Amino acid sequence: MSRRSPAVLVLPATLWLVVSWAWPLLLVLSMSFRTMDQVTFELSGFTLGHFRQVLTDPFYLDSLLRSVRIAAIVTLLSGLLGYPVALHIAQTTSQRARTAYTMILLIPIMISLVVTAFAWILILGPSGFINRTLSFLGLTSEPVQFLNSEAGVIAVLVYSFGPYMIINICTAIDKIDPAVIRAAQLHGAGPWRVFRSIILPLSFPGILSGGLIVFSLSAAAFVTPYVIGGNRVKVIPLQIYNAAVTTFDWPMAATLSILLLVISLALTALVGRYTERRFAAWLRGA
Amino acid sequence: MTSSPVLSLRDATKAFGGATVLKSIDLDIQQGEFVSLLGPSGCGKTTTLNIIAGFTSPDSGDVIINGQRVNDVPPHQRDLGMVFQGHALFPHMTCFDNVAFGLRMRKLAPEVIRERVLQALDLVRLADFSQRYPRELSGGQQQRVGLARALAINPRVLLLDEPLSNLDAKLRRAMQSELRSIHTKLRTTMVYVTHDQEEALTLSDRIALMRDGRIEQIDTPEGIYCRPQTRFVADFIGSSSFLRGIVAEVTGQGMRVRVGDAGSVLVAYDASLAVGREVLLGVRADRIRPVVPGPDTLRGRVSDRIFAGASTHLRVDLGQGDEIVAHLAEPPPAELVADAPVSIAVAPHDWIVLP
Amino acid sequence: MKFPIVSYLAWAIYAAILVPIIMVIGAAFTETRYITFPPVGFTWRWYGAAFADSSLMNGLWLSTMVALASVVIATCLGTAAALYLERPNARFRGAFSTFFLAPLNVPAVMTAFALLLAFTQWHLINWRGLIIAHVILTLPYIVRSVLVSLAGRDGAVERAAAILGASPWRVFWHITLPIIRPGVLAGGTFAFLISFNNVPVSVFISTPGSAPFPVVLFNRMQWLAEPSVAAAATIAILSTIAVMLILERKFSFYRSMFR
Repeated sequence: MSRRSPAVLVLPATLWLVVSWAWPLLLVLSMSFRTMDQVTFELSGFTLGHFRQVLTDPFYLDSLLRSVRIAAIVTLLSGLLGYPVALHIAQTTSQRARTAYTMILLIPIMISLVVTAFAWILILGPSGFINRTLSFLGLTSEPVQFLNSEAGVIAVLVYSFGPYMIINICTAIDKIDPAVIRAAQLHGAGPWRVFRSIILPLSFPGILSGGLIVFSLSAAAFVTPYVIGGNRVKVIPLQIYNAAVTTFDWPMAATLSILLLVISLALTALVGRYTERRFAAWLRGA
Repeated sequence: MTSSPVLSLRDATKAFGGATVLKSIDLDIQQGEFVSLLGPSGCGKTTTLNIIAGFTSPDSGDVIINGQRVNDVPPHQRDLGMVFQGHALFPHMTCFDNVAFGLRMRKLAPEVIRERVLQALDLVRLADFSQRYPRELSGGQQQRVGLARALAINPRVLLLDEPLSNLDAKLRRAMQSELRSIHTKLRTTMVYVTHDQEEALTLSDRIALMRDGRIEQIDTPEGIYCRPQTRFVADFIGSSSFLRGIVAEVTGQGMRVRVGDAGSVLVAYDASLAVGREVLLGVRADRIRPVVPGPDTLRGRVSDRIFAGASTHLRVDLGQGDEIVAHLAEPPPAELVADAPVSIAVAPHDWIVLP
Repeated sequence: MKFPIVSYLAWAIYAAILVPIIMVIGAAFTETRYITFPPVGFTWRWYGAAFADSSLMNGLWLSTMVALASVVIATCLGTAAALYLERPNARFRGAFSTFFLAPLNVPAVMTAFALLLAFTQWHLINWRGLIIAHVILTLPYIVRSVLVSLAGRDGAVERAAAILGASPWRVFWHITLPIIRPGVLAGGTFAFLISFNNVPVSVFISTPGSAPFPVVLFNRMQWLAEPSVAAAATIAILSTIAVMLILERKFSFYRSMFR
C-alpha cells in the first residue's frame, strides 16, 4: 500500500555494485586520460592523446570499421535467418512443442562461448566437417580457410547471438492481436499480404530491440574473434584484450573500452528514441 | 447508551497524488455494531477501511481504537481482523494453518491454537476441510475460511472489504445470511465495505453512505431508505424518480405542491418550507399507483410499459421534462400502453421532500 | 495464421543449432588421437583423460564453487533489492532499476578490463575476485526474475498476514518468501549457468593457478590436438543442457518465457 520498503533493503546490492563495478569503471575512464609507463606501471599526467590516436590512427580506425561491419552483418543475418524461426514458434499452438523449440534455440546462448567456438572449429577447420565434405565432393583441392577469417567469425557470432533476435521477434509477434489478422483475412488478404502488411510491420519493434542486442553483443565480442579469428581478425574488443593482457598498454585499452561503450550507448539511445517516436503510440494502444 | 465507541475516526483526511480522497471523515462505531460503508466506486470507502486497518495513514485526523489514538501503530499491532475481497488465503498453507496463523503470531500454546482454529472453522461449518489447501476449495468456501481466519484471533473490530463481490448472486445471498447469524452469535463489531445497497440494507445496524470522500448520511437502514436527507441518498438507495415543484398552499392535512402542468400533490407538513418555495420531490418507484383522474393526482402520458418479471415498469411523462417511473407489483390495466393518458397518485407520507 | 513454408526454414535452423553440439559430443568418442568427426571407432578413454586432467578438474571445481557462492550472494542481495524496487512509490526506483540492470548493457570486455584494473590494485586476482565479479554478472538476472515473481503474487496476502499480527519481517519470512521461492530458485539456477559458463570476464581476471573451467578450455584452444578437449567440452554442454531440463521440469522456466 503506501508504506515504503525500508531503504536498507536496496543498499547492500547498491554498495556491492558501486564498489566492485562502478568504481572500477571510473578507473577505466580516468586511465584513458593518463599516460602509463609500461615498465613501472606509473601513471602520470592528463592527456587526450589516446583518444586522438584512436580516432585518427588508421590501425584503430580500421579495427573500428571492422567491428561495426561485422556487427552489422551479424545483425542482418540474424534477422534474416531468425525471423522464420520466430514466426514458426509464434504460430505453434502446442505448448509442449513451443517449449521444446524454445529450449533448442536457447542452447547457443546458454553454453559457453568457448565450447561454441570449439564446436565450430570442428566444422570450419581445415580438416573440419565442411572442408572434408567439400573435398570429398571434389569441389576443392585445398582446404578453405574459414578460420582466421571474418566469414568464420561472422558465422559463429550469428550462431551465438542470433537467438536473442529470435526471442525478441517472437515476443513481438505474440503481442499481435489475432483479431487484427482475422480482420485482414476477412478483407481478402492472402498469407503473403498478411505477412507483409500486418505481421512484419507490427513485429518491427521486436526486430529493432533484438537487433540492438545482437549488434551490441557482436561489437563487444572478443572470445569468438580470438578463437575463430585466431587473433587475426582485429576487432576493437580484441585490441582491448591484447592491450590489456599482452602489451600492457592499459591506457589504450581503457580508451578503446570507452569508445566501445560510447558506441553502444549511442546506438541504444538512438534506437530507443526511434522506437519511442514511431511505435510508442500503437505499442501503448495494444 | 453512553459507552464510548470502540472505533472512531476524527476529521480524517487523505489525498493521493493531487486528488483528495477523504475529506474530513468523522465516524463513531459502537461495540457490537454492524456498520456498512456504502457508496459508488471512488467514494473513499475502501480508503477509509485501509486507514482503520493501518495500511495507509491519514494526512490529518485521528484513528482511535478503544480510546487510544493508533495513527502510529502499524497494522500488525492493531488487533483487528480483516476479510478481503479476493479471500487472500495463504496458498502454501492448509486451511488449518491459515486460520492458525494469527494465533501463532500471538505465540499461543499449540493446544489453545488447535482448539480456537477448530472452533472458528466450526463456526463457518468447514471443520472437515482443515487439511485442505485453498486451491482445493470453491469460492464460497475460500471466503468462509477467510472469515474464520479473521475471527479466530477475536479481533476488536472485524473489517470486511467487499468480501462477497466476487461470488455469484445465489452464493452471495447464502453468505449474507451466514454473516448475519455469525454477527448475532458473536456480537463482534464489524465494519463492512460494499457498493451493493441491498447487501448493506439487509446486513447492517447502521449504514454510512459515502460520496466523494464525505459521509452523506449515516443512519439505520430504515432511516436511509425512508428519510433520505439529500437527493444523492434518495437516488442511490432504491429506485426513485424526482420532480420539481412549488409549494402552493398549506392545508389541514399537509402541504400542497404544484408540479408543473401535471397537477398538484399532497405532502407531509414541513414548517421550514414557506409557500412559493421551490422543492424537489422524490418518490420510490414502488410507491406510485395508477388511478382515475382526481384531486391530488398527476396527469401524464405513458411513454413506455416494460414487463420485468416480478413487476411491470411504467414510464410516465408528466410534461415539462418531468418523468416518473413506477414499479407495479400488480399488472396495470391493459389500456395503459405507450401514449395512453394516465393519472398517478402517491400517499402523502411517501413523498420525500428535499429542499 | 499458419505459414507452412516457415516450418521448413525453422527446422533447418534447429538442425543447424544442434549439429555443432552433436559433432562435439561425437568427436569425443573417436579412437584417433586427433579430433575428427565423424568419430573413428568408439572409446571412453578421452573422458577418462579429461577426468584425470588436474587443471581441467580444478577448473570444474572452481567454476562450480564460484557459481554457487556468487549465486547465493547475488540471491540475497538481489532479492532484497527487488523487494525494495517492487513498491511503485520506492524512492529513485527508476534509477536503481537501471543501475542494477546496467551490467547487461555495458560491454563485457569493458567490465572485464575494469575489474582487471581494480582487482590488480586490490590483490583480488584470485578466487575471491572471481566470486565478486560473478556476483556483478548474475545480479541483473536475479533482480529481474525476483521482480517477475513478486509481480505475479497477490499483494492482499501480505496485508492479510500483517493484519493478523505478523511484523514486516515475519510477513516476508512466512508468506512472501514461500510464495516467491520457486521463482527465486529458478532465477538462481539460471544465474548459476550464466556464472558457470562465463568467459569474457573470467578470462581477464583468472590466473593459471585459479582458472574456471571455460577459461581452461579457452587456454587449451591453442592446442586442440587431443579429443580430451572435446570430452571436456561435452561435459560442459551436457551439464548445461541437464540444468536447462531441470529448469523446465521443475519451474516451467522456458514455458513461461513467451508471455
